[in-house]
Amino acid sequence: MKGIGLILRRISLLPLATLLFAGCARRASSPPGKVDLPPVGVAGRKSFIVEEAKRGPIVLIFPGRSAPTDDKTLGIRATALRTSEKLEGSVAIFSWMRYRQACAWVRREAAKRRESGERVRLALVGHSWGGQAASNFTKESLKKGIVDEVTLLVTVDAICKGYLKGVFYQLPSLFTLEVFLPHRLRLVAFRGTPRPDGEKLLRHVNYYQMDSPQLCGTAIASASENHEIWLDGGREPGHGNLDNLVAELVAEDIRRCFLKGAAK
Amino acid sequence: MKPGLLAGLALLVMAGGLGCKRRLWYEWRDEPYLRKVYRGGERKALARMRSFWHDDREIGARALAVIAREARAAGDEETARRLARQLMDHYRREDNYETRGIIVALCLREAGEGDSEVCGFLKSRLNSGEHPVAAAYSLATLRPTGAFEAISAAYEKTRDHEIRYELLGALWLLGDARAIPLLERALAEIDAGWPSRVHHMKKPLYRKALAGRLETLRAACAAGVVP
Repeated sequence: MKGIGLILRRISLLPLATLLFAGCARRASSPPGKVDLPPVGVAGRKSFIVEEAKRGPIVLIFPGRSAPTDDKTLGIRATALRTSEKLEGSVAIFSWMRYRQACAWVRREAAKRRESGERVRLALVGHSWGGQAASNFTKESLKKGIVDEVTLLVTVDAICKGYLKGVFYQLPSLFTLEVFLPHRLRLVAFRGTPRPDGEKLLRHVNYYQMDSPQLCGTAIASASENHEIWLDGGREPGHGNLDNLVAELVAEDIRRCFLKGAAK
Repeated sequence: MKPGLLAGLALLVMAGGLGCKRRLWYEWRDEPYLRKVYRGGERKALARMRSFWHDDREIGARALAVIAREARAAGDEETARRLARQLMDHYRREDNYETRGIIVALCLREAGEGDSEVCGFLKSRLNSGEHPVAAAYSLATLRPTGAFEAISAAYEKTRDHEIRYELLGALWLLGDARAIPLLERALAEIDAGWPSRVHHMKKPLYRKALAGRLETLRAACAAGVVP
């Protein structure tokens, strides 16, 4: 009995630690208010509106946890630039910490299209923690009617709120878990992903890797396509480099989903 | 808690934080490490490429590739070509298979846009069978003349289904209508001739992925827009 009591006391420390670290990560949904948007074409640390147009699709990209959007080595930034070259529309990257700004930007772009009577179509991309933001944004934008359809959702090694839930909750990076859980940690808890229904959300493409130290993704059962990234000899590029490797693939996914007559 | 246990835990954390260096951090090799080298410029990137550690050499090569890409974007074609050549030379010297793979899959793709020498080098890597997947994706991104012929020939030549699967992915990326029959044939053969798993994916999962690729390639070709 004494041993059990000791174990229970130890376990009771976990919620405390959870509460302590849960505050480190910001919530995706924040209260409404006036939001200032950054200028077009100027890369900031947390947001970068690559281009804007009055017509055409809207592409919103969420990078990983702390990735600065002005970093030229960032793969997700390369995705945005390549998409902007391939597509006539509006393209922007917002850190998941700038979720409200992203929402305001999409509203602004959607209003332009509605003025001209055009259907508002959105493509969302999320890498790592941005995967959760992209997934939330898909649900929120459809529920609130911000856009008419989410034509494509792309997740790259997506992590969501709830991985290791009850142990570390949204612990961002305290020795990044690996000291405590060495080597491979599979991100199996990508919960609440919206399921493509052929009308509101047309397609979900998921890129992931399975064997990379120390974070890696997983196949998402509801996704339209799951692509495991694999290099010669079974080598994987690592969690933070996966966005570089798939940059061109994602840009092509986006371009092709907006082609006339693209299959649903 | 016993003081000995506490001391052990503290030592473990210190070892994780300081002593064991980056291999215990999930961003090891990733952008936060790359960023610093990139900011240091060509000299720092080349210094990293001479490191004893292969992951440091990889960071150096990746930073050099981004420098080359930015130089090309700024119109400095000569610098971009020179750096791409340095990356190819490093590939020949490099003894780590994984680092060589990253040079082919990522660095040369970034540094080699419009560079015929890089495209020739990638085709040779594809033909040699040393890094066929990495070379095929880089070729599909750079889209030099003859890329379809090179990738489809490698596809017909190899018997390894893991490589075949990836080469089909590269052909999809290339966006050439001639890849449609290859994808159709692969899908028709999946039940009879393909293994139960490709990489970690079970057959229904990879079949669905291939079918999705075929669908979007058909749509792209029907729209008459090539990448």
